[in-house]
Amino acid sequence: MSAVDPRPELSPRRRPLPRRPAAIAACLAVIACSGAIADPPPAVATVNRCATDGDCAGYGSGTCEAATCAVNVGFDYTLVVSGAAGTDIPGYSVLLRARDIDPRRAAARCGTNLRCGAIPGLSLISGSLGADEATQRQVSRSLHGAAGATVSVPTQVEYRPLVPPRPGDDPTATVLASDVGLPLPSVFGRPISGDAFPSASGKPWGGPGATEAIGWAVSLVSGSSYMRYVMPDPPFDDAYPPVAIRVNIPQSQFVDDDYAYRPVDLSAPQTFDVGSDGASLAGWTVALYDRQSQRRISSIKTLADLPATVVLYTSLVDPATKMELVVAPPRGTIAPELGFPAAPTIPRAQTYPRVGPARHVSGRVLAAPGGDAVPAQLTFRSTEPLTSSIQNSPVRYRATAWADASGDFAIDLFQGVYEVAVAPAGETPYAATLIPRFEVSEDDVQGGKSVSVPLKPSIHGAAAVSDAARSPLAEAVVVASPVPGAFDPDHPLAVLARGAQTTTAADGSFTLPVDPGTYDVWIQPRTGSRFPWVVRTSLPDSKAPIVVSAGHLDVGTIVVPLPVDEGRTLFDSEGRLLQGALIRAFYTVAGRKSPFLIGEAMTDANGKYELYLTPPQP
Amino acid sequence: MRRGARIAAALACAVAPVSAALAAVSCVLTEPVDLPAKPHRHPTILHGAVAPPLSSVVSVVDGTDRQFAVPVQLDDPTQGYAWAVFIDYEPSLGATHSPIQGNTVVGAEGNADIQVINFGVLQSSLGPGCHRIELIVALSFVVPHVADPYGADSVSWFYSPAGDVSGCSIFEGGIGADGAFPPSADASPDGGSSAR
Repeated sequence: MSAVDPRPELSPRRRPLPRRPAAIAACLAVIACSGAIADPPPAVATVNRCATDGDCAGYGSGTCEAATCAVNVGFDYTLVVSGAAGTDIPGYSVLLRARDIDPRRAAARCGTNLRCGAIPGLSLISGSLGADEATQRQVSRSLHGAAGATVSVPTQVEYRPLVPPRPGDDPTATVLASDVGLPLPSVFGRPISGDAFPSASGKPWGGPGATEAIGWAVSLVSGSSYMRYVMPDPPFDDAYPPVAIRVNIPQSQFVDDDYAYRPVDLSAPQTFDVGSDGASLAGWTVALYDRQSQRRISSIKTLADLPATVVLYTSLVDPATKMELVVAPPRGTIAPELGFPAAPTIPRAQTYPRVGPARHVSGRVLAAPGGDAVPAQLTFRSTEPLTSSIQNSPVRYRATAWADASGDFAIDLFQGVYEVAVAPAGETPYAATLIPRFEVSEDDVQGGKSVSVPLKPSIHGAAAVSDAARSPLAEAVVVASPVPGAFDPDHPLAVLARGAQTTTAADGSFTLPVDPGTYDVWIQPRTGSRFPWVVRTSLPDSKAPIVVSAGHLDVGTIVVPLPVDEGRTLFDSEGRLLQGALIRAFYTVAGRKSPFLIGEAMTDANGKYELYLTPPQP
Repeated sequence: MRRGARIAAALACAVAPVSAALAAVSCVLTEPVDLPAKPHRHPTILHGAVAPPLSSVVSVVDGTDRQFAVPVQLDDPTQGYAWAVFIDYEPSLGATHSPIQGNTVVGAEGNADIQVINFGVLQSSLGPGCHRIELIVALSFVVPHVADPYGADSVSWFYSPAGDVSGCSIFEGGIGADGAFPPSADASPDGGSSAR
């Protein structure tokens, strides 16, 4: 076996047990040379290892660095560091650029180790949501505080991480990490009571006898930016709307993040007259939502008697927001909701039509061709008016059913026309399919409604390493990942393609069945191989996107080059070793909305991780 | 023969049979007998490094395959493992509730004993309202959501698209506490549109 071999060596403990003659010989050898004890199994696979530069000659420009054939052409990328219990970021994800991993920031611990650095620390945030007297008068909701005081409103708080705009984008743009596919999760505030506030902090007070939590506390990454969403708790949410504001966290240990409603920030009241064509809407809610994000952006009213006049407020809503009025049933009630998009305005009078009872619908998911039963998830979404009594009423319904191993499903739906997203179980060879028209008639019980799903098309290809012989790369994980697209609220079921994985065969080849869609294809040499992940985003000849529709698509041989050794040792901001942290590396490519995940690793007990990377190939 | 040499020779004679016997015993011990197999153990999730963290609520699913990352410790990397993702798993549906995603990973010589499972969830798989996203990892599954006798490990996230978690009030311990989630909470069989 050469020093650089894409196939793994058998480690000593994995070798087959010797047969009898060999065992006797081994026994004699042990008696003769009691010191001949086998080496312990290697901590990492013994592939892509070298002793001298000559061992890497087969790769051309590769040199032997840290016992690994590698290339020394550093590039900048972004790391997302998650977890690391025992440090100051347990349960958090931290974003940092590779070039910012600077030993000078952890000088006391890194010493002369240049492959070393510290992650940013956390700031302790405390905040509260206040409403002054003028605001209370404006929304007609007194908070019973001291006269003239700003009184706090119990609320939930979510901080969604922001990331810097990409080069070439508007530098003032507010970019949510989730919008560009960077996995930085939201952080939610913990409610705290007035007693928890330091007495000298000047926090708004909940009023005499107040028992509600009146503020929040949360730890956030120092020097980062977030979109902060405050959402008043019931029953205060019937008058006080959610507020979304960008906040920048300074490099301080303690930060106040208070917000107080101002009358000037509240919208003019929007009034709606809600009635019903027969049904009682007691307990239903009325509110305005952002169609794109599906977030509530107004105060929310719970209906009692009808007809009702509902007054809703919003606060600091982007004028470009496309909102809609939603009249929704209480949780657990099977009934269509009323959703009226602003086009450009929402009519004041809203009448919930007579929709009739739900119909019991059953059917079967079958393979086409063949007719085999297919277990699947079915999502139904109404596309045409659910009732003929008011043709233009925007009543809509969405529900999910499961087809079992026999392919049978049953669900209660209302009369109307639906589209159905059928997602066969992952272990089946059948493709996710959108059934554009599924009719539910006025009959109470409707059976025999079969839907069919085709076989998945597949992606063919092979993986090889970049040595002179283009040796096949076996046992690599192949991932087909759908190219992320923007969510379309008008066609919420349009995106059906799911990720898929397989493993390369001994000759490096792979066949990967996938749902129809557009994909990037990753080759991920097995963990410990010291070869980098490679992503192919286009077909090798035409450079066209990898669009899979039917049949088989050949993406050719994907060559895995030598890596750049980007292993590091990390400390937290307090100088503690970052142990057990998940490290994920992302690389941004011009023209693509989302960065590419190009490698991942975990830190060991010494805060060290091995990471071998290469940037995405053009 | 000098006295020292005679003692040495006598010792050699005395020790030789013992050595031979020991050697024989050693040889018997190193025969390829059927050693007791190492007990299998299911993969163990490294909960502290799971992303998104288990103490938070997921308010956005971006559909990418990297939003959820679950590191698992393998007892034997050559053995392989299987994982599956469920939405609103409903125990009463049992084996009829199919995973939305999953994979069987073949074990390999020299593999590292920590592997990271990456997956994503499509918004079209969830719909409006609150949902529970659950990943289960095991050596293998007998039927969906039921592991082989070696057991399984799992993690769950709570998803609320509106960010208004008060609307999904069945959350033990409160947000930011232990992240515990009661079985089948918010998992109405039809997942109807009522949960805003």
